[in-house]
Parts: sequence; structure tokens; C-alpha cells
Amino acid sequence: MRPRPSLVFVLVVVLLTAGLVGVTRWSPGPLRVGMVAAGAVGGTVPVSSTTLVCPDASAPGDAGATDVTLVAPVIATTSSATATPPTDSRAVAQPLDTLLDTGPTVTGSQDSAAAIASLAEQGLASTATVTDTDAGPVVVRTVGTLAPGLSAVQVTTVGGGDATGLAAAACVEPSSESWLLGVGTEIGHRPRLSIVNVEPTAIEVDVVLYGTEGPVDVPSLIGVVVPLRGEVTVELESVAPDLAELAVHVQPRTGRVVAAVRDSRVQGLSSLGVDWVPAAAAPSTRVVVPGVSGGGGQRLLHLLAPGDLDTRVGVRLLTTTGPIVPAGLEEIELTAGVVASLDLATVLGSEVAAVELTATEPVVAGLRVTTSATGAAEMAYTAGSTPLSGLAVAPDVRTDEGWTGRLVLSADDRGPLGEELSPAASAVPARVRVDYFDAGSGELVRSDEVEVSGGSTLEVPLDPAGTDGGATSPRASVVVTSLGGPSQRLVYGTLQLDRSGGPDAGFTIVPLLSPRLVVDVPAVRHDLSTGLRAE
Amino acid sequence: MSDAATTPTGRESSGGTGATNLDAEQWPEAMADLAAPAELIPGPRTRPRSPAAHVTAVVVAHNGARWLGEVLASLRSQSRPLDRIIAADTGSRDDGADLLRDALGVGCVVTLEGTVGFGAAVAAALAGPGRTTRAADGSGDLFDGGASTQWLWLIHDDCAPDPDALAQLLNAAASAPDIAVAGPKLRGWHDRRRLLETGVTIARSGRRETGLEPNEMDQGQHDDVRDVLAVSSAGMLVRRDAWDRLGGFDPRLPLFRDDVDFGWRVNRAGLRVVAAPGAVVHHVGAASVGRRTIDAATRRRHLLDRRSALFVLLANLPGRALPWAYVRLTASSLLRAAGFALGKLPGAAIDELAAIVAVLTRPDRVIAARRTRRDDQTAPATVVAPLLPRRGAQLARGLDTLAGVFAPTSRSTHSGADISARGHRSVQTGPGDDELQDLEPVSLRWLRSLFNPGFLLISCLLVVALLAARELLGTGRLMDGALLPAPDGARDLWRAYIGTWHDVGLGSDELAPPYLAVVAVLATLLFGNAPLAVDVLLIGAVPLAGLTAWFATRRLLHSSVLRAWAAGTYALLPATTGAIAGGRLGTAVAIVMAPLIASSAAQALMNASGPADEDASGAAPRSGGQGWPAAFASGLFLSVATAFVPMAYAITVAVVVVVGLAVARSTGAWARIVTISLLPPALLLPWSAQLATEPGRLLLEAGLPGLGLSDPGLEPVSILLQSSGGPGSIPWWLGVPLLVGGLAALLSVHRRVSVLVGWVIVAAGLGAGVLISSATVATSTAAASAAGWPGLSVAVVAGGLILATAVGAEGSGDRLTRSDFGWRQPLALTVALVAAVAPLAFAVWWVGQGAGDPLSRQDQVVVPEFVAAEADNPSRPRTVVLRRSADGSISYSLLRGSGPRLGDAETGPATGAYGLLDEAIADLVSGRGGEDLDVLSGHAVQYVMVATPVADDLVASLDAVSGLQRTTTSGGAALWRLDEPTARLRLIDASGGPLALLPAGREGADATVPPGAAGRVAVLAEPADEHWVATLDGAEAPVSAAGGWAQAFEVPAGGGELVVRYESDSRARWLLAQALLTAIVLVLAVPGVRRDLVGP
Repeated sequence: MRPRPSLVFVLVVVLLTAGLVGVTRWSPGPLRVGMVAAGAVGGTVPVSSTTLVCPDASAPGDAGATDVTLVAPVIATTSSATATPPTDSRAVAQPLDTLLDTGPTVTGSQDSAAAIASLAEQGLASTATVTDTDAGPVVVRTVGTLAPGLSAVQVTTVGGGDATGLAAAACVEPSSESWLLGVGTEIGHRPRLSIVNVEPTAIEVDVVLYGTEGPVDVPSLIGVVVPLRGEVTVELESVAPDLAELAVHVQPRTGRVVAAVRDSRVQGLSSLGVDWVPAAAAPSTRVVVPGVSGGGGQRLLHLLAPGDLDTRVGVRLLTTTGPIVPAGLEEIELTAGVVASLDLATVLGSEVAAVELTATEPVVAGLRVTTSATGAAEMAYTAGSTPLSGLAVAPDVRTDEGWTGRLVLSADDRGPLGEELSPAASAVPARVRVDYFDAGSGELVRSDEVEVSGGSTLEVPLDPAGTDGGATSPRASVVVTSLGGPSQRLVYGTLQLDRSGGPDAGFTIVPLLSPRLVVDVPAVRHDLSTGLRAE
Repeated sequence: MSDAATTPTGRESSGGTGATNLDAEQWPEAMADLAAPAELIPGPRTRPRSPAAHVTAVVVAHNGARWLGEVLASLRSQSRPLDRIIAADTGSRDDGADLLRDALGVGCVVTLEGTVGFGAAVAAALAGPGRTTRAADGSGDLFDGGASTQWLWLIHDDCAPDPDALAQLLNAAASAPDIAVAGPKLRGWHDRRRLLETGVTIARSGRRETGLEPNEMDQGQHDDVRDVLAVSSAGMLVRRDAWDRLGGFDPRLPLFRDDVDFGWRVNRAGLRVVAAPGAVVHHVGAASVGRRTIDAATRRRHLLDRRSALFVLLANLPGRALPWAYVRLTASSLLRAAGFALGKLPGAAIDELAAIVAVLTRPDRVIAARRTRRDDQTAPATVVAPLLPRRGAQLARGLDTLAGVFAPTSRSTHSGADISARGHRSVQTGPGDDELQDLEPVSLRWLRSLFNPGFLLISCLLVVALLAARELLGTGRLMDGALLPAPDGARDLWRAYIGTWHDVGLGSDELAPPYLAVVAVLATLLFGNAPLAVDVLLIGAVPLAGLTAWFATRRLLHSSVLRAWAAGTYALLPATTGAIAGGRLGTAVAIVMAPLIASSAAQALMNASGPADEDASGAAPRSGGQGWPAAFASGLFLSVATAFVPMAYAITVAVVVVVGLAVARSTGAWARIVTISLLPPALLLPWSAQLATEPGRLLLEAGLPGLGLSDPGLEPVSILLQSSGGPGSIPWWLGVPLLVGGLAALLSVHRRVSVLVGWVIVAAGLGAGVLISSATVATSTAAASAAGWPGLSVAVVAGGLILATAVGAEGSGDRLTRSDFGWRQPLALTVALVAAVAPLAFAVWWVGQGAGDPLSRQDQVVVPEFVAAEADNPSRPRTVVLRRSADGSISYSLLRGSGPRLGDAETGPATGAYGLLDEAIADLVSGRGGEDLDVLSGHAVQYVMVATPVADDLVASLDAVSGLQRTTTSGGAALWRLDEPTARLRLIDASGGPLALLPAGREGADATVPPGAAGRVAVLAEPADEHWVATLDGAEAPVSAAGGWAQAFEVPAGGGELVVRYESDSRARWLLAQALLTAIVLVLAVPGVRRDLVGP
């Protein structure tokens, strides 16, 4: 019999195949096969160790006393999946030269012996007074529960010597780059750059100076070796004299350092004041310089576009009444690498304000305030700042005789992405809570909530005693918390301290910097293919 | 011939031309020239004068009636008539004896027992039953010697001399007085031009050497008279006096080697044996090729042959050579027996052993034989030496034979229909196999193989592969994609496979994957060049797949064109080229193995069920008995494929079981199916046990899976359309022709079962492919998980479609031309055209795209040269390589050398083992603070590197870490060195402070620990494991817990020689068992040797 193609046969095979394909279309979700281990899960974890460096307060020829105050604010501990820090953690402040080569732990007895101040639990403050003229920088360290939020400030009163006044500096963590602006090296100006290395290896640092004519060529500042756990100071007026405007860029080749400039000025025999220059925020196309205090003196804004391109900078002032664009200063041309200065005294008058800069290329900014409102001529520095994220601590607010303190808070009026908003939307206020903790007992004595309208600046006088007279100690630490809210306003703040009467009368501005509470830890996993494939 | 020219008597003038000058008319004169040899001592060369020769032909018959008539006729038609013919019949069961009696007369024929040997039969014939002669010229009687020289002409019942054979022989014999024996040129009986012998000698192994190529054609290339050791007894012309003096053939040699022995003795007697190629005798050689059974002594032909061979050697070799000959022959017999056992010819092996035992146990026979020979030996032993074969020739011959034994199917490629299907194992009888002689000379065959379609196909594929891989040639190593670069040498691969502990990353004791052994074997064969082995497997995958497909289709398809199409299409499958592009070594090898698995499995299944296929077109092998070797071979091939791609096992078992349900009709077939299914798990132990406990690994394959190497959203239909996703994917329409062909094959009425088997394979491949592509797979050593890659499944689908198409097409053409014109013919033509396009399209696409991407050839692996070099220092510093992934996470790799190597993906420790280091790296890149660098030092990390493309923030955060010193960057990567020196083996004090760095090896360590404080600890930067053992000056060092994760040993204050080793012997036992089992399976898988290739 001659075989014939069986259509049934063909049909069966085709249907079976089609069925197989069809069934798999409705197959359940994907199978997971293999053993993917998690590795280190990324996320945010509390800071486990903090090292703050308070710059060298002593200055030859200046008779001053320095109070180093450290505060560990109460931080609600977030549950952390990663390494639990030791619970018996302590924070200590000690001179740099007593730092022993035992790693970051601060439980060693030798460390304790050298401690000039120490903290054992959250909420407390501890103050040490340093009068030694060559005490050197003070290092504040902790590992463990006290690490998140640990803050310190050093307040120096200089009552004798060439330059007198009040100087204060926040103690900051070492960083891999610092910008310091606002100083000049004309006759009588003595800005002293201090570079501190707390790490167990020497660090090479490149220091680049920018002047009114562009970068200043100072070969001796390239590759400055900062010894391990040591300090290098540079008298800027001797390496780059006669510059009215000077920007200092400190960049370690490896590791991190703390760079600070202590400026003191005299004119003839009379003091023009003394203060620390805070580090400016990293170059950005949007810079806010908060805390431009009132008073009659010069408010000299220094600007630098450190890149290779010239830029145009728009200037706005966030005043107590709202943002204004100063006439004639709407937009200034900025040549790359050249420090430009701008006196805002005439447009600001005696008003307190913040300066907002919007540039087409990243810029850095610093500002010098001079005044004689408290008696003798005094000066202070503020600089481009980072907004408050969560809390910021003003560790040492005094209400003693002659001392007054106030917060200057500015809220920006942009949208979440920095975009311009309608006037109605931009005026939505930022809410800020101000908590007063008694320096002695660590108790919360008072809590205020203030609102800062978008695009404006608010001056908050600090009065720990308040109307109900809660505080028993003349000193308090103030914790400023940006409450966020629907508007998500960015808040910038400074602490301003005035001291009247006495030879050390003066004023100072300390930027409110939010300490790092948590760290973004990337997910880390071992993967054999790393480096093999270009993804 | 140089032999002739250098013989002492200098017989160069007795060339063939001289001999053939004489024609029949000159006979009387020529004869008159012959001098009567009064004495048998070789004398000075004198031109023989005169004498009359008297030639007696002695015919010995044994069941040779088939040829006898022609033999007798040829004797009668000799141009030099015979003087007398006598005959002996040794118990023929056919009518041979009657034929002889009819032809020669009763009186001339002696009838003997069937067990009488040739020599004895000749002797008996000469003794004669009576004196009745039938002399052609009626002159004289046999024993009337008188003046004429008496000659005997020994004739077998299967050899027919040409008419002038005797004349030529006599002429040659008469050319010198000391010539006692002359032998003709033996040519084939059926193929009359085929040269069988012109003189023989005996190799030192006992082999009978003719000095000719197998199947050599006679083109006059051996036509000169020369001295030889011996000539065949078929047509041998021997002087009667010599015959009598030496006693004829030795009765101890009933059948084989009697002629050689006789020749040897003649030579030693100072006489000469010449081959006279002018005389032609056509010979069947029935006894020696096994066409007839032998009654002479025993039915064990091989035993007889070997025993005779050994005996001849031992009886004739000079005495001083005897001890060595004994040793040598014993050893070679054992070797040969082993060879026969391997070739699964146990009978031959036993014969071999029995022969040597028989000779060794009966020294008396040898002694007796030597004693009788001694009397005749008047010439020194050296006269024989030039007549024995050279040693080199013998070796070459042995190799030839070996090649012949193991390539029994080599002839199938050029003789059209499948000769191989005859699968000779049994000794065939009768002349039905005469085509065997219809073979060309070797040289021509070689030439013709150049134009053999298979050869052409593989050449084309090779050219296409080289064209496509144009950017993958050069220096460096293949890597990227799923492929990790090969190590330097086969030794590294073996070490990775054999070792229990692997120096990969953190260090691990994971099971080494068995595919490493396969690659290592290949690398060893390639003189230890491991990168070359990977090149061969990957770039060579296409030609190799073509080769195996060509080989596999030899039983399936008769048409060379269809075979070439099928093999070519299979070789160029997008799955194969995709596997190459993606660096999927596993899939490439599995695709190469798949046709072998399929064809041997088919053979294993079909043999049991007889002609399983539905028509008589001869696809089913006719011979039985190869089923078991095929089953073992299939299991072995499957094991290799499974070692690379475990899914190959699942697919094969599914197909074999389903097909078995349809065609297997005997328990034997099912036993073979079970064998195929059980072999891979057994051979791959203990790895297969691990696979069984983690079935998910079935979806993995050799190498590192990765994102971008597979397509997470692969549609099931694209598996049918030959698109496997990932690198080297093809547009969907390129896969259409195959599918069309496969579907069209369903319409064929031709060999429907085969078509259906094809579709079963398609279904199995489709199922496996869908399963794999819907899975998300990850290996334990790679962080990223990616979709599975169904490359092999897609290739299996294609293989099934090709099988269905080719089988369906074969014969359809004939059938369609025969049937009436209708819709079928245009349809078939269209399908044929579409299908024919498929391989061309694949080839063009592949060459156009290039074989690489991401696969590439690179020199540097990961870390810079000097860092990799430093890794060999005694401190064994390691490197951490970092990269920020697209999702912001950090991936890193802890490297001990220049980078990961082949096999590290499987032998490396699981990602989860790195917890401590994960934390440290997280600290390092986030600036969270912590003891990160101490942890790195504890892991013996000396370098930190950010791989290209470099993430600037990563560089910034590493720059900011004190204790890390930026060093030179190479190739865009950034590199840091830890300030603190570290080492794999460190000495720390009781409180954990570092004391000293100690030298260490790759695995163990030998270090001198100086005396010091008590409580010191030596820390080895390897995960703590009870297999690490340390001794200090020979005393076992206690394990310390001070190392934390790392292995640590207490060191006493005195110090001493510290020796650290990893000791584990369970792996060695597994490997031994595995090697043994593999060897056994290999032996069982070797196809049986064709019995007709064995023999004298």
C-alpha cells in the first residue's frame, strides 16, 4: 500500500507544538535559580565614628582664652542592620599632639588622661577652656552611639594683643577639599592658614591661592607635607602679600585634612578684629551665604569661579522682608580663576540678610563683615553654606553678662528642584524648631518653633531662660531642627554671638552645619566578574 | 632493488627485464644453459649452462572445488609445460577430490585426513600412492634424476598461474646455481591487478610482512628479481634436492608461516630464495583471509597464526638473539592481547595469550626445532639479516594497522551508499565481498578525499569560522561574555580540577566542575596550551559541529548533498555562533557533542529493534552487536556535554525515553537506555550529586552568567525561530527556513518515524528552552543574576528540525518526480529552496557580524602587570578590584593573581562568604569610618583598584582614605597601595598587633618563625577550615581562634620551621574512582574491531 501523508499526523504535531508554546505564555512568574547572597546591603546607617578638629586657637601675641564645647545631641537611634557600635562609647576632646597611634578607639586610658573634655552620654555638653598659647588644635573624637550628631565649637575671646575681639569656629570633620574666602593680605592683615592632619600617615596637600589677577603662583604651597597627626601653618601675607582679595583652595592628594584660616587685622596700632574664616561650600551653581549680619560696616562678598569658564552670577538678597534683587548688581561677570569682591553694605544698610547667588558655572563665595557696633572694630566671616538637613547644633550659647546670641535663619523660595515658583507658592514658610538644652544637666529646657517665610531671613534672639525662666545655667546648647513640612524649604542658618564690654568685646558668626547623622552605604557584593566586563 | 645489488653474490643482472626477455621459443636453449648444480654450496657466479629441468607441480586441495577447475586449467596451459602434476586432497568435503581425480587420474591424487598440514600434504603427495604419472612430455619419471634438475612447483587449490608463470620462474631460478627457491608475484583472484605478495619476510613481532601497501595495485613497481627471505607456498618453485635436504616444510607448522620458515632455512643453508615477479599467480588466499575454515590443526586461526609466528622466530633466530626475543615476544604478545581486549575481541586476545603460553611452556619443541635446523645451517646468520624488515618499517606498519582498526568506517565517505552499514564483525564466507578488493590505491584515495563532500564542507566551515573570527585571532586570551580567560597551561586546569582547595578569591573548597577535566584533557593533548584549547573549542566550534554532524548523519542519510546541507546548517546555527559571541564555552562544546550523542544513542536503540525504521531504504544498521558500545559511547558523549551544560542531560534522557517507548522492543534496548541515562551521573560524581541536591543548577552552564548575555523577555516562539537572545542573536526571519523545512517534512510519507523522532527532539528542546529562558539564574560567585540562556535548547530544536527536514527530503525527490505533477512538486521545490538558503544565510550573517562581541581577545586580564607579578611574591599580596554598577551598588572582586581564570566561576567561594570584606569595602567607599584597612590587611589585600570605566566619586572617596597611596594608573583604571605591608601568612602577638610577615606559597606555606614572645599566632589569610594543618618543627601546631574568620595557629616562643598544608584526601578517592570508571567506559565504548582487520 502506498503510504499517504497523514494530515491528522501533521495536525497533531503542529497542535502539540502550538500548545507547548501557548502554555508557556501563561506560565507562572519567572523561576529564580541560583544562590545570590546579599552581600552588604546598602542603605543609610548611623555614623559610627566622628572626628572633629577645632583649629589651633592660640596665636602668638594674642592673649586669649578658648572654650571648646562639645555636645552630643539626643538622636533617636534608628535601627541599624549593620555593626552595632559599642554602647559604652565616649567622646573626648584632646590636643592634637596627645593623639596616640592606637586607631580611632577612644577608650584607651592614655587617651582619657589627655582628654581636656569628655562626654559619656547623649544630651550633655562639656566645655574645656584652653588658655595655653601653644596648645595646638584640639581633636574631638568618638566611636559608637555618640558619633551621630556630635558637634563642637570653639569660642575664643581675645582681650589683649594686637587684634582683639571675639572669634569662633565650628569644629569640623576632615575633608578632601576646602575653600576659604574673604581674607586679604594687605598691610596689617594676618591671615594664617592652618592645615591639620589627624590621620596616622603624612598627607601631601596642594594649596592654591587665587587673587584678583587669577591664581597666585606659590611653589612652596604645592605638595605641602602635613605630618601624621600634625599641623602645618602658613602665613598667607608672607607668601602672597598685598592682595585685597584672596581665595584659598586646600586639597590633599590623599586622605582628608582640616583647613582653617584665622584672620586678624590691625590698622596701625588699633585692632580691626579677629575671627576664623569658615570653609565655604563646594563650588556650585547655586550658593547661599547666610548670616550676613546687620550693622553699619563693610559686608564684602568674595566670589570665585574656580573652573575654566567665565560665568555670570545673579545676586539676590534674602532680607527680613523677602527677596530683593539689588539694583545694579542683578548680574555680575565673573572671570574664571579671579576673585571678585562686592560690597553689599550700601544695598543692605543695617539689615540682616542672606545672599543667594545663581551662576552658570560653579562658584564659591565667602563674606567678611566688619562693624564697630559693639565698641571696638570687629570683623567676622561667613561663607557659602549647606542647608540644614535635619538638625544642627549651636553648642555654646551664653547668656552671661555681656553675651547675646541669636540665630539668623534664611529660607529659600525655590521648588524642590531649585526651580522658580510663583510668589504665592514661594512665600510658604519653613518651619524650624529651636530646642534649648541646659549645658549642665543636659535637660531640654525650652523648645520654640519659628516660621521663616520663603525667600526671607529671620533673626531669632536666643534666650534659654525665656519667659518662664527654665534654664538654670548661663550656658545652653541649642539644637536647630528644620521641620521640613509641605514646602520642603531649604533653611540656612548661622549663629551670631555678640560680646559687649571688656577688652575682648566683639562679635562672631558661626555657620550652622548639620552634622552627619547617617551615611549612605552602597550595597556591596563580591562579584567575580568585576573588572572583566564593561557594562 | 638495493637489496639485490648488495647481496654478496651480486646478482644485479638478474633483473626482471632480463628474465622476461626469454620467450617460449627460447625455452630449450635457456634450459640448456642451466648448469646442473652438482653441489649446493654457493660458488662463484657462473652462467648456468644447459640442463634440462624437470618440474613437478604439487597441488594441495582442501575444500577448494570452487577454484580448482580454473587452477587445473591454468596448469595445463603453461607455456613451459609441466612435467608432472600430482595432488593431495586433505579431506575436502566438497567435490574437490573428485575434480582432481578426474583431471589428474586417481594415481596422481593422494587423499589425506583433513587435519594434515600443507607441508605434510606435499610430502605425502611426493611419496605418492603409486608411480602413475601423467607427464606432459612423457619424459621420465619423478625419481629419474639423471641430468635434469628436479623442481617442485607447489600449487594451492586457490591459485592460478598465468600461462608463462612457470617459464618465468624457471628462468629466474636458473639465473644462478645457488637459487633453490623462486616465488611468483601473487595477485588477486577477483581483482586481478591487486598485488598480494612478491616475496615475504617475517617481522620481529612475528608478523608476516609483504612490504606492500594494503590494497596496492600492481603497476610493475616491484618487478625486479630480488632475494627475499621466503616466498609464499602458493606457486613456490623449489629445487627438489633442496627440498629433500631440508626435509620440506616443518611438520610442526601445519598451516601458517611454514613458507617463511622454509625460506629462512633455505637461506641459512647457503642457498637463495628469489622473488620472480615476472611470474604471476592469481591467488585467493582463502585460508589466510578466513574464507574457509581450517581443519588442518585447530579452528583457532589466530591462535595458530600467532603460535606459528612465534615458533618460526624462536626456531630460526640466531642463538644470541634468543633471550631478547623471548622477552620481546612475551611483552608484545601481552600488549597485543590488551589491544584486542580493548577492541573487544576477547577471542583474539585469548588466542594471543594462548600462543605465547604454548610457545613458552614447550621449550622442548623449540629446542628440537633448533637442533634439526643446526645441521642444515651452513651459511652465517648474517645472510638473513638484510632480508628481515627494518625496525622503523615495522613501527609504521603498526601505526597503520592501529589506524585501520579504529577507523572502520573510513571508507564510507567515498563509496556512495553506506558500505559501513555492513558493519563486518562476523567472518564472511563466499566471494560476496569482492567489492572489498575494489579499492583504489592509497595515494588516489587520498587525492579523492580532497573532493569528498565532507572534506569540502569542513574546509568551507573552517574558512567561514576564520573569516568570522577575524578579530579574535592574535595574541592574548579569549575572554569576556560568560568566558573567563584560560590559565597558562593544562597544569593549572588539572590543579583546579584535582585540588580540593582553590585559591580563588577568599579561598574555597567548592567542588570543581568536571568540565575543567575535559578542557584539561584537550589542553594536555595540545601540548599543555590551555588558551589554545579554549580557542579550539570556541572558534573551532562551528567546523567541529559540522564534523560531528557529518559523522552522525552517515547512517541516517545516503545523499551526500543532503548530509552536507544538514551538517552545514547544524554547524552554522545561530545558537552556536551566539555561544561563541557570548563566550559560552559550555554550549559550544555541548552543540559539538550533540550529534555524537544522538547518533550513538540511535544506534543503541535501533540495534535492539532490528530494522526499526519503517522502510527498506537501509537507514537501520543491519549488523547487530554494536548496540552496547554505542550505548556506552552515547553515555560518554553525554557525560562530556553534561559536564558543560547540565541541561543536555535532561534533554537527552527525555528524548531517549520517549523514542525508546516508540521503538525499543527488547529488554536489551531498555537496558541500554538505562545505561545512557545512568552513565553521566555516575561518571560525573561527586559533582552530579551536588547537581541533584540543587536542581536549579540544571539551568546553569559553564562560565559566568551576566546581564546582557541573555534576554530576560525571550518569547517561546523565538526558540523555535532560532533566536536564543543575548549576543549573536539573529532577526526572527532568519530562523523561518528551518521551521518551514521541519513542518514540510511532516508531509513526507518517507521514513515517518525518523521525522517524528526529529519532532520529539524539537519538543524536548523547546520545553528545556522555555524553562531556561523563563528562569533567572545566578552563580554563587557572581552578584548579578540574569535570565537563563537557552542556547543549547535552541540548537537542539534546530537539530530536530534539520533531522526531520533532511530525512523527509531524502527520497521525496524521487517519489515526487515519479508521481504525477500536482501541488506537491511546487511546494516541495519551494521548501527545498527555502531550506537550502538557511545555512548560507547563517554563514553570511555570522561573517558579517563577526564572531566576537562581547567575546574578545585581550592580553591583560584585570590587574596591571606588575601587580599580577607581585602576587607571586612570598607575601602573596592580593588586590581588590572595585566598580560602581549601574544601579549604584558596588561590586568588587578579591583577586590573587592577574584576574579570574577558567573554572573560578564554579570553584570560587559563594558571594555570601565575603561578609567581613563586604563591610570593609562598604566602609571604604562610603567614608563611614571604621577599621576597614585593617580588615583589608587581614585579607592580605595590598592593592585596591577601581576598574574602568572609573567612577569619579569612587576615586574621590578612595583618595580620601588615609593609608591608601595612589600609585600609577594603567589603562584608565585607578590603583592604590596600602601603606602597611601585608602578607598571606602573618605573625601577630597576643593582642593582635602585627609582628612579622611570613612567606607563603599558593596553597601551603613553609616559613621560619624566629624565637619571640609566647602567645604569638600565625594567621593564614584563608577561611578557617579543619583541613588546614600546620606543624612547627614537625610537631603539630594547635589551632588558634585568634584569627577570627581566618585560619590561625599558635606559635610557641621558640619559633621554628612552620609548615602549613591543606590536607584532604576524600577528593583523591573520588577522582580515582572517576578515572577508573571513565577508563572502563572508554573501553566499553570503543566500537568493536572488525575481525577481518585482525590476522596475519
